[in-house]
Amino acid sequence: MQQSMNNANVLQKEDIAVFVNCIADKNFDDFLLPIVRFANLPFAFLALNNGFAFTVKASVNIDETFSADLIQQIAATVATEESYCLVENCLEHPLALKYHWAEVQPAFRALIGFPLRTKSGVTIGCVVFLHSVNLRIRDVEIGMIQYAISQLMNIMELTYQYGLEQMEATLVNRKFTHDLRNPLTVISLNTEILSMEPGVSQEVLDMCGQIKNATKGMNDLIETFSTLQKKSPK
Amino acid sequence: MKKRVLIYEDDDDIRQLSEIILLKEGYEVASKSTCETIVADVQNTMPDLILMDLWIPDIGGQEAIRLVKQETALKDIPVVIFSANDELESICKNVNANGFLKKPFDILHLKNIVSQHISSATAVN
Repeated sequence: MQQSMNNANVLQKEDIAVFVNCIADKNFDDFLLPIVRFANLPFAFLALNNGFAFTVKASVNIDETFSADLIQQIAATVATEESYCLVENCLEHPLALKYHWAEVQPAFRALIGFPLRTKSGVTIGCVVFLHSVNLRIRDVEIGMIQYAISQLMNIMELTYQYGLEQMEATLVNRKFTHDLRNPLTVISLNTEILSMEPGVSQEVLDMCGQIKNATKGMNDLIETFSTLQKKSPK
Repeated sequence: MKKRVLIYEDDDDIRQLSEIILLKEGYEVASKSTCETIVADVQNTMPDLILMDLWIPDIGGQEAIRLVKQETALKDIPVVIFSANDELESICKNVNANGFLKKPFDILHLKNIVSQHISSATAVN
């Protein structure tokens, strides 16, 4: 474990081995060591074995990132062996904005799901699931997990950025339609008031009618635009 | 006795036009361009109806309506949202507003919704 402590940001074979052994033996006394070390890793680790789920949280600050409730929720969900339910459950969590899953290796049966972000958008990590973990983990398997994590973190980042752009576009569109409707209201009301003035000429009345038709046409366009924007893929 | 309408609208033109229309209709009208002192405003004015824009400084129309509806003495005053927002119906339900009027609206719609909600409130009281 001394070696692990010296490589605080690298997933170590010993980490997994400790967890797997703890799970297999139902002896949790040794959990503390990897937990301490994982506190410096940018992801959380969840090991599974024979339907039991154990969560090992890793984060810079547990209070700001994974809540205890969420960890319990994840554990409960996975304990039913319905791993993919996690997607639905966690989507409802305010910290979980986007998800991706990947089968790392059929033989290893590891699923990597992520991510959890703070409300300010800081990536605080992902959750790793290991199914049927073999006690004798090969170095190459450790490497595969790490590679998958880094790849998925990259995808996650891209997806998150895309999501931000979509969100920004939605907000811009919303403001756009809102800011068009206000002047249309002013034009429409003024036109009506003008047309109701006593002694107004037929010519002015005709003009008011044209303005009214034009504003209605503009408003119809805004409605169409707004509807299309709502239907556009998120 | 004239019925009183309190308008919250930050767009000067829409606020003035709404005032003109409702004054001509025989209402007593007061208006504000911000809503951060809404509870005090409403307590002072005791309107028969509040017309509330949603995108209004400083606390926003939704929060302003919530504050009014939390006050026992004010919660029965009908609040009508008038806004260019697309989700008016759901917002109206969420904040317990009594009705909504989507912008752009015409004079008849404004008159109708104001008279309808004032009449309903009067009938209940």
